[in-house]
Formats: sequence, structure tokens, C-alpha cells
Amino acid sequence: MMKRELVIIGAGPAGLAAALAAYDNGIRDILIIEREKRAGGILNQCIHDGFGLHKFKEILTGPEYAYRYLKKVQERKIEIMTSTIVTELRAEKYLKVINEEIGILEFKADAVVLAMGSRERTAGGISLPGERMAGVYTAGLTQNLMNLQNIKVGNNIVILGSGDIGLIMARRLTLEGANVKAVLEIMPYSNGLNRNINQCLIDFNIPLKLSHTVIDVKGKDRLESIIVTEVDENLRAIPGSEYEIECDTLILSVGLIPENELSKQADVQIDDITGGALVKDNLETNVPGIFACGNVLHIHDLVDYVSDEAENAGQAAAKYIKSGHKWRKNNIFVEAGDGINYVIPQLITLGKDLEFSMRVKKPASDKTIKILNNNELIAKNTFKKVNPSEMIKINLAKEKLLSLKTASIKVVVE
Amino acid sequence: MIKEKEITCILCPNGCDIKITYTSQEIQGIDGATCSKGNDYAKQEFENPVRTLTSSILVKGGDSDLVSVKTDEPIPLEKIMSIMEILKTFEVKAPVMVGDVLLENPADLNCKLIATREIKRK
Ligand code: SF4
Repeated sequence: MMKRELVIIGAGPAGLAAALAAYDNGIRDILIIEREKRAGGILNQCIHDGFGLHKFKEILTGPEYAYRYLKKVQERKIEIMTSTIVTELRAEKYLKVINEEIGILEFKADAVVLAMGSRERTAGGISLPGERMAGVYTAGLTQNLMNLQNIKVGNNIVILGSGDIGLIMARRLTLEGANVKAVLEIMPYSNGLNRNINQCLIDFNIPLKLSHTVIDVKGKDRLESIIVTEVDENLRAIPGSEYEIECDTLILSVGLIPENELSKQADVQIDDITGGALVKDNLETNVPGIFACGNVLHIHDLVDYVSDEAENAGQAAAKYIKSGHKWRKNNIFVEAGDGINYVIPQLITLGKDLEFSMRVKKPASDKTIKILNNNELIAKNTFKKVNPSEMIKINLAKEKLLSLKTASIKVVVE
Repeated sequence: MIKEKEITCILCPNGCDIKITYTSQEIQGIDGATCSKGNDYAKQEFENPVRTLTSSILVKGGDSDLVSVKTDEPIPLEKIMSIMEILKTFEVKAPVMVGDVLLENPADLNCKLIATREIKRK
């Protein structure tokens, strides 16, 4: 068994940024474990642009964004072990991994950063009736096949779900000559960024059908058509509104789920809403020395924010390695109140400037996000528009928390 | 006759709804932007929308069959499909470095096609 100071699981944007931050905070013995052949994670297949505006003040494509981080990691000679799968992670920061060439290896780390990213929700996860047949793909898989493996998925296409990957794929498929007949969204609003609705759908005259979903799929071995229905405000099918769309391919873009199987093995506590770990303001989980960042913690819409978050995790891991675990006093719980879906971190401490990431439940305009303690206002921020698809960040200066009445604060939108 | 067109500004998360009033292609007024960047954006979108094209092309002898590419400048939206047509049959040889110029002035446009990904020789 090999001893390492810091082991980072995943060499996507979160893992790379966490490694850089740990290095720049004095840690030299760092190992990044990556299951794919290349570092870069999901960015490798995100060949469209729109990344980096916040971090680099430039608009980059996904592979370019990954490359900038990878270069810095290589300059610092940080070790990345590719084609390696972690099969076991324990709370004592013990890891068992399998490398394609070397075989099984065991590590004992002082600290671990979880940066495994997310996986896609599949048809099974969203209860799609009809038989399993060829021609039904998830959006991320379609993206991988098209952009990395040069495999075309079909000609006549319907996309279910208007999340960003679905919108991006609507454009990508159109550019490559496919006929994208519609994007269906069960909610009365889109889950994608405005920019993507404009540049991916409106630019190419692809209809976005809100409050619509698929109730059946038809075909023998290959998909031949789908039955679509309108839904009411309770998301129930409106009888009589069904119609058929002929298509050979249905692409599901129905969301991402943090990939936390390994975290659970290590007794990391998971938040039911985010699907990621419960974390303190230094992104440490309930297990001392195990930190989480990026999409494994909660789903982000901008990679720039993943990098920011991962830098905090890397820095905190470095601090942990150098000074050991300290039992924290003055813990304050953070609660997601009315209109707020979730807030990260869930546990904070006094004496620190804080940054919260959150999502609202519904789109709305002219709203105020308030931070309350014992129903008294301690901070607020107003927004012209709030949208579940856009993560909101709010900073809170440490002075604001000096005279708390109870050991919890609540975030609400009014 | 005065007509109206709605444009959503995409430059920042505010996503202002901007209304352009115009007569036979001449802009009369731009309304609804919170900042001046939005006015410029709406004018550009109205007169000549431009986009950066990203795609991928075939690469021979590399550790991957495709290399991702982009135009170094935004190009008119209406020209996007004609460049895609050219890219369909265009092929390069490995190795390719991020930032390499792979094609100059495709479809007589004033732009370059550059690689966004590194492809090593097989
Ligand atoms: S007009 Fe200005 S404030 Fe409004 S969305 Fe555009 S950039 Fe943002």
C-alpha cells in the first residue's frame, strides 16, 4: 500500500483545479486518478464555446478550457494516472484502484478530494413507457458519440428535455445534417440558459414545446415514432392532446445526477436534494479529510464556477494536510427556505467571509433573496430575474453573523 | 409602418428583453436594455447576427478520429451551413496542436478555422 498526501478522484475541471490549488498552497505529493484515457472530463466532448468568460475573460470551447488547466497541471509535474478506476474508497482515506496496465493498486491518503462529476439521468430514471429499442439515447452519450467517436445517431430527431446539453445537441445535430423536429419540455419553462435557447433553437428554427412530454414510443427494433402529449400545471397529461411524431431517434436530456457511489462507500453523508455530499464552508464532508467539489457536489451550469469551487476544496485539503483535523466549534446550519431548492454549503462557521451557491425553485422576476436568522433579516440581494437553470451566488461578510440568535440561518426568496 | 422585434440580450444573466422598433429595415428605437452593451448587441442581432462556429473535422493518423475546431472570429449566421458543407470533406493529419490554423478564409469569409484540441500521432 502506497502513502500519498492528497488523492483526487477525477481529472475533469474540478479535479484539475483542486490539484492546482493544493499545489499552490504547498502540497507536492498529489495524485489525480482518472478513469478515461485523457484528462479533461466532460469538457473534452463539449466542443461548443461559452466557457471561461468568468475565469479567463475570454470565450473558450470546452477542450480549450480543459487544456489551459491541464497545461498548468503538467507544468507543476502533478501526477495524473489515467485509465484507472477507483473500486473502493473508505472513510480512513484508503483507496483501491485498478489501472488498465498495472492492475490493482492500494493507496492510503492524508486527504481525498471527490471530483467524480455526474452521470446522466436515463429513461429508467424518468419512467418512459414503451419498450427498450434502438434509437433512444441520452444527450451526453450522443455528444460523446458524435464529437469524440464520429458516430452519427440518427436522421429524424426529437429531444426530450430542454436542459443545456439537449439544446447544444439540437444545434450540433442540425449542423451535421440531421433534422431536429422538436425539443419537448414537460415544465412550463426551459431548464436551459437563455443563450442556448437563442443560439441553438431559435437560430435554426427548432420548435421548443413547453408543457409537452412523451407518453409512448413506437417501433420494432428501431424507434419509428413517439406519442406526445401536452400536460397541465400538475404535469398530468391532458386527455385528447396526444399526437404522433415520426422519428428514428429520441434523445433524453433530462438532467444530471452527482456520481456518489464511492462517496457512500466512505460513509459520506448525501443531501437528498442535491444528490451530492453535505459540506461545510471549506467543502469538507462529514468525513474528516474528504472534500467534494464540482458536479459530484451539486450540478453546475457554468464550468467557471466548478473551477472556483474546486480551488476552494484544493486549498482546504492543503490546509487539512498541513495542520491536521481540528474539531470545529460554532457550527451554524444553513437551511433552504421558501422558494429555494438548495443552498451549498449546508454547514458554516463563524469568523469567515462566506459564499453561498443556490438555486431557486421557479423562474420569476424582481425577486429578493434574503438570509434570515430567527426570522430577522441579516442580508439581502435583489435580482431582476431568477431562474432554476442559473445558479445564484451570494456573498456574506463575517461581520453579518456576529449577533445570531439561533444556530441556523435560512435563505428564502420573496 | 412601424414594426417591433423582441431580442433577449444574452450578454449577462439579467437577460434583458429588448424591443427594437423599425420601419422598412431602419431602426427607430431600442428599448429595454439595462446597459449600453445591450443596445449594441440588439443592433448587431437585428442587422447582422454573427456566431462563432464550432464543429469537428476528420484527422488522419491521430490518437482520435476527430479534432474539434472553431472559427477565430464570429461569422454571419447565414453562412454557417456553407462552412459546414466544406468541413464535411475536409481532413487534416496528426499531430495537431491547440490553436493551429487548419484552414484560412473558408467560403471566402474573413476568418480562420483553428483547432481547439490537441491530437497526438498514433
Ligand atoms: S442589456 Fe446589459 S444588463 Fe441587460 S442582459 Fe444585456 S448586458 Fe446584461
